[in-house]
Amino acid sequence: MNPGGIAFLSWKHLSHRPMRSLTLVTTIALTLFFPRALQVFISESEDVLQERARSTPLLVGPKGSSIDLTLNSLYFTPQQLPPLTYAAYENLSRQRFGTTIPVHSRFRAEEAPVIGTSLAYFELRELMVVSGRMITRLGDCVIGAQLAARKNLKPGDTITSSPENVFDLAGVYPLRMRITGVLAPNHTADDDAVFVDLKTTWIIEGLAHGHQDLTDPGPPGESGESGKNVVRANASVIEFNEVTDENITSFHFHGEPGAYPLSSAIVVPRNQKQHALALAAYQDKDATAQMVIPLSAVTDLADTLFATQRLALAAFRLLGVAALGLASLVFLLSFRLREREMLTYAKIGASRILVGTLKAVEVTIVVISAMILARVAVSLTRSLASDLLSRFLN
Amino acid sequence: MLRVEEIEFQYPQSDYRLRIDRFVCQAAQATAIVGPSGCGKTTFLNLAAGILHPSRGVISVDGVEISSLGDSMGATFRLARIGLIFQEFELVEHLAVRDNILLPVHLGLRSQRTAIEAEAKRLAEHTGIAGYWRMHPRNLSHGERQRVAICRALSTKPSLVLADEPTGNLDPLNKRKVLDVMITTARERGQCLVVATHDVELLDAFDAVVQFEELNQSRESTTP
Repeated sequence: MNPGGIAFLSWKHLSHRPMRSLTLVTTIALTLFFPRALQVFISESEDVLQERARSTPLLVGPKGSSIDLTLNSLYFTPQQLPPLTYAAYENLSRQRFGTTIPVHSRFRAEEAPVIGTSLAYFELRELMVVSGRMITRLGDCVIGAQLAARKNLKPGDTITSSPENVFDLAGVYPLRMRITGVLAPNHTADDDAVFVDLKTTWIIEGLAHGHQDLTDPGPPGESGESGKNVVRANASVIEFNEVTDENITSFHFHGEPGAYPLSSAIVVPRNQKQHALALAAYQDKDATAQMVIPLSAVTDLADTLFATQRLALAAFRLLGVAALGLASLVFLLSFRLREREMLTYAKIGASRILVGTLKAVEVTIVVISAMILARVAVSLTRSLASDLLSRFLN
Repeated sequence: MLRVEEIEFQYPQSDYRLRIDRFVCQAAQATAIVGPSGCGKTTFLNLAAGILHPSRGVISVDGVEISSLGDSMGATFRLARIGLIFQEFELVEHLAVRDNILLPVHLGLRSQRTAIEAEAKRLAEHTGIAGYWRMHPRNLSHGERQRVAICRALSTKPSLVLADEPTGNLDPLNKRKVLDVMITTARERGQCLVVATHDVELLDAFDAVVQFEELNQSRESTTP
């Protein structure tokens, strides 16, 4: 037997009809690729979803759906959740369960979520300012890399919060925020967010505002009526829609600070004991807030979401078996059509074993080519999946 | 030398029977077997080549009883020692002329590649197909294809050459030319050449002419 000659004859036949061979190789490659690629996507999706949850040890928020709370606080997806009061947040901070970070994610600007938080959030997420500087006062914001690129924004530009309801004339005014910095990308939801100080979100909420000085003696009747000891404002008082160095001192809060809202609080225990104590503190069924382990919530969500995809995977595998059956049939038909050629080989001096080997080598070349193609495609999918999924899922 | 003694053959589920008491073709001898179409000439050549096996009797080539060799041994023997020229040429369409002629090398005679390739080129020159070396059979005429088949059969320098109507598709001039190449080559190399033909005007070139009806002792003598 001449292995080189057999390989040569097999290759010559395959290359003689390149389209047919390519179709066979592609069909088998796709059959192998689809289930594997779906598996890669499922696995990578779980990883991407869980990665952010893993870096967020505990979350405190209003009672209700733990998944909604997690999605809102970690991925900034808009959710209609009751607020957590600032008093509850302060109470949490006093209990020394670790570092507590406020998150208020109710508002949006240029379709991006506006996140009111503290500087500890940037440390937790390892977010660095790559251009400009960090927020220093009310009305300042830093923005994610993706948002900056998408809207072509840079330090020194401004971004205005979107009113929640344009028909609500009595609603809060949009706030124009000064962009002081752009964050380095971390391929999470942070890349498409606007970060401000928690108090700035309260300005957007309408709980704080700044306006012209009513004691300033302007033209009579223009901004209000003043008696001896009484200052009475009317609708002509100018309210500021942007915090500037000139008007910052005029900004002030109204109402009870303990009732001010936020969406949730991230808790980062320093040790296992603090972790356990924090969880125990929120076991009370009558408590108005709940403590969630984001990883558990995301894992539950992933299990539910990917159950369907696992069914699809099973379907792909069945389809794969059918496609491989079809490919086998193509081979069998092809060999049947080439019976005369095989008979010629046999007449000239090829044994049955040699003719069988010739057929097997041909099938092997096709299958190995398909496996290599599928392997390359799966590797490409794997290298691209993480980035793609980070964009879509965060 | 080809020696056939007291063989019998019958196709399964067919009335056709072949019975030959004795047939001998000596080395360097060119023998023509003549007879009408369907009389069994091709069957006889297939038996002589070891492609078909008789139910009884002995067929030997150079003293080797090929009818008793197994599939693998028989194939190896045929590849090295027997050259076959088929009525329908049996060229492989996806192989170039060169690779069709070198088919025995690809199928197992790798160690003789250089010698076979040199002989193939010489034969291609002699038969006038050297210019088609890299072409595919589909681009050749019937006559050219037949010459490729002849080159393939002779390039391994076999001791027995079995040809089934090798000049059937050639014009008179090329018929004589190709037959001369085959017979001269056979005589020069001491090959035994057996040609099945119904081309009576070429019979004078052969050393012996055998009427197939006389050779076949069976009464039922029409192939299925």
